[in-house]
Amino acid sequence: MADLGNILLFFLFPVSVFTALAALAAGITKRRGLLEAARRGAYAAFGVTTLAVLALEYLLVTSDFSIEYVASNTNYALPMFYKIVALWAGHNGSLLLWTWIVTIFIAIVAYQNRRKNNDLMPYVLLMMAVTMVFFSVLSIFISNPFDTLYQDMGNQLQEFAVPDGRGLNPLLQHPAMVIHPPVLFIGYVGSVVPFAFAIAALITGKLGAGWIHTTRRWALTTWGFLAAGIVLGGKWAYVELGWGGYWAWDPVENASLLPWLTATAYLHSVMIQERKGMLKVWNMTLVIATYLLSIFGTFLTRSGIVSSVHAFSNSGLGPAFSVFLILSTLFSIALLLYRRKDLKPDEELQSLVSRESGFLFNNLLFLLATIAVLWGTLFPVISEIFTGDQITVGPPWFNNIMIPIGLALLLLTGVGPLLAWRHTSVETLKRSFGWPILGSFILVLVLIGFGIRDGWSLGSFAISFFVMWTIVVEFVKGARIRGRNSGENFLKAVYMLSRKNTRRYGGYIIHAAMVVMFIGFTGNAFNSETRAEVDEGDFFELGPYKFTATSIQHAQNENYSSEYLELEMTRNGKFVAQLKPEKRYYFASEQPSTEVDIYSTLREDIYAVLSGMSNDGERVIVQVYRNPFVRMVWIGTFLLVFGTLFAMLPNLRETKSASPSNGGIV
Amino acid sequence: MSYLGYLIGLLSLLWAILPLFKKDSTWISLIMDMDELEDRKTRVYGNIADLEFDFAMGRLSESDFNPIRQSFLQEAGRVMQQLEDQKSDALIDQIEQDVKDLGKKKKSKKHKCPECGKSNLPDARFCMKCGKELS
Amino acid sequence: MKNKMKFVIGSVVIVLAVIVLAVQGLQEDATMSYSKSVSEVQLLGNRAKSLSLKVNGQLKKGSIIRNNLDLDFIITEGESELQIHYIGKDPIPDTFNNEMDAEVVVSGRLADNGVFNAERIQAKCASKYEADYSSAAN
Repeated sequence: MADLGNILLFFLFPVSVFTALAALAAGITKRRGLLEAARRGAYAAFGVTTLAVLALEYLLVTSDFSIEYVASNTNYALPMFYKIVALWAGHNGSLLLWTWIVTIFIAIVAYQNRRKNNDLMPYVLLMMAVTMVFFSVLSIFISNPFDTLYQDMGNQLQEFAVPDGRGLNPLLQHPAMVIHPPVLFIGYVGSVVPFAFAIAALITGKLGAGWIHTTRRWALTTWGFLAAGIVLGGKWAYVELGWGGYWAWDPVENASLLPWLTATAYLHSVMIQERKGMLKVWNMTLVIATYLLSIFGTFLTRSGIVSSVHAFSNSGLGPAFSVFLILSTLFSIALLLYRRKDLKPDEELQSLVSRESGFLFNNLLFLLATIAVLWGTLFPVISEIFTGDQITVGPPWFNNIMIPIGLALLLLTGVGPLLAWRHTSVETLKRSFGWPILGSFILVLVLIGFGIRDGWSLGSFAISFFVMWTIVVEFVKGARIRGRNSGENFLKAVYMLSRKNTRRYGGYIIHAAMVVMFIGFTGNAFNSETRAEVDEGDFFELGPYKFTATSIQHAQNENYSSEYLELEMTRNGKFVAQLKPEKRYYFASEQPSTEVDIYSTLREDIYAVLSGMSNDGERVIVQVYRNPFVRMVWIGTFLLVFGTLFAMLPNLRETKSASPSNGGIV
Repeated sequence: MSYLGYLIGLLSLLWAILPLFKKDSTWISLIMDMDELEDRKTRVYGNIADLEFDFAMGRLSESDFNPIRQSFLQEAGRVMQQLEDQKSDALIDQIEQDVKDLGKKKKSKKHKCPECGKSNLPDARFCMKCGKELS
Repeated sequence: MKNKMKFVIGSVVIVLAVIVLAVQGLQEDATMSYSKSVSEVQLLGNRAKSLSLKVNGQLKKGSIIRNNLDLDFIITEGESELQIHYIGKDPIPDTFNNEMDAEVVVSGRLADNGVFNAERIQAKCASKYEADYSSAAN
């Protein structure tokens, strides 16, 4: 089975090369047969890679420990579910997953466009095939998951199998970790589709809105998956790493944030191009940057260039990635320069107080955020080049820049949609913003009354309130106007209104989701914690809560043994919850693992960690964190995914106009 | 097992190469200008829809709304006019081409009935005289 | 043109503000730490005491001593050793115990008595995990 998988995977290389060549030839000659051949190449690449993935799955599920990858990432006692997902637990397997997703996407794109976009498709397939060639080379020749274990027998190498594998890293044995990599990878890889279309548009000179329309859903999907993937990574860190937080500006976290920032900027600035014909070069740049940053993120995770808790070991992919990144960057820049004359704006900016100007400032802020995160992430590398010292900038540096930028962006979320295109007069501004601003001021006063003094937090709450208000007003007002014209009741009107312009109202839902998440982020300012060494019967306090250690227990199953503490949480003498922080020891991997227990409410998370035993083994050290509003981050993410899906629904068309005057629009 | 791998791999590669040996034709690129005009048309329509929405939501004063709407309508009119011109130009080109082709086909292709020898129109499927099906 | 100027001025103000934040952030001592190995710290001599450091080394087996909430251990690199005293609040990582061969990164400052006061401990495990199988098999 390993041979079969290996050979199938090997065929990905010639198939990808053939696809690239056929696509290039089709682009030059415009011959249908060549394009058809390139298309079939895409399907064939998907076919062989899928079979190779299935072969690897077979090896994982049947525990074939003559394969290095299987032996390193699974063992007999591992539950079947984790054996299956071990496909992306290690470096080689997850690279195969990456490659597989590339082939899935190229096949989908080839199929979707089999009867349209004939002029663009050859170059779209070419760019995607080149990406495929690159990843197939990595997967086949550098990090092959089908490599077998070898033993040095005198002067010849002999294959051998170990009796049992090392098991899956305990840190990875968590549901969030199971879906995090595929979701994030889909987000990363998805960026190749808009990129391929943008490059195809540049090469062919068909720079109209065609490529933008074709890739709109792709860009949105990519963006949604990236967002969900980033948060899932945070969730995994939160429940699995046991330090009470979900984000630490770790290089790998940053790497996933970077393409998300540029993708977000693109989703906004593309609207200016659609309405005003401005920012054509800029949109191209953002799409290209998103793709390059996705590749860069993968590179950062796997090259060992910066150290991180999420990173794989140094896998020897660094040079290959560097070359690919540099070549793609140079190629893209050259193309942009070549076409710069054809990308002139059709209109000019007319007023500072207008929707387009709001979008421009939004883009500026996203650009600065991207540069800041990139700079901070690469600071160890940059500083080593210039000073010889490797200097790391910590979370305070990132917070110092990103909190103001984040809040400014959040504010724009509320302001931007209320500005009209072209020009908004002061009168209408007063009408739109008067009440929300007054409301925010009152909220700030109330919060100060409750004893909150931290300026950033007050600002964040005030802005959140303001933005939420404006979004709700958008729905209510729109529904009222619609209801007046159509006679629908309020809820029906809200539904019809949003279904008729899913992109606008999906966008509002996503904005609301961001507000909810920002409330969660702001909760960080009010975190508190305590640490105690306890024996059975001891107690300690945190805030209004009293924690009593009722018992220290031991348990065991075939996968791991565990020690756990039963901690009773009370408030004013009333029972609130029973917490069970645990420390496990996995037999196969010989690794201990801390399992935190979280009592989560909308208001706050109570997060308990069993951090260790005292030297005599009699007492345990327990750490309890009180993190307000963390749940808001997860809820916001659900809302964000919902908004993204909603924005992708096709607009509902009414058979007859609801009203003769403006019912067709509102 | 490994033979199966080679077999699948080679077959899929062969399947991809196959279209290269079929009878081939080229596609004709769309005319650039037409695309651009279509873009401008959707853009103006989108702008008008947005403008009316903004007005209905109270983001625009009446004094701003009317002149902007007028200018958009004029622009829409201009674009539609150009599109029509382009279309009729393209149509005329197409007709010219068809007429040329017709002439060529008549000359080059002797669409004679194999049965009775009567010459038929180039696109005829049956013979005018004897009714025999033409290839 | 006038509007374009307004926009340009607005943008310049924003860009400058962010640059100020970035530079000011760098001058705050707590945000920057120098990555060094154990032997490099010793080469730094007295300068080491003035810097916020991130030191990486190998955990010396059996060197961990726990006393109530205190934690002391030694990290090594070849012949060089560094005594660490943990003053941080977060729980220490799982891979960090006396039986294991762990590569450790400690963040903190070198005190006058030559003991390193660590505020954070990171143990590299997830990555090392995969690496040593192939080396064992080679």
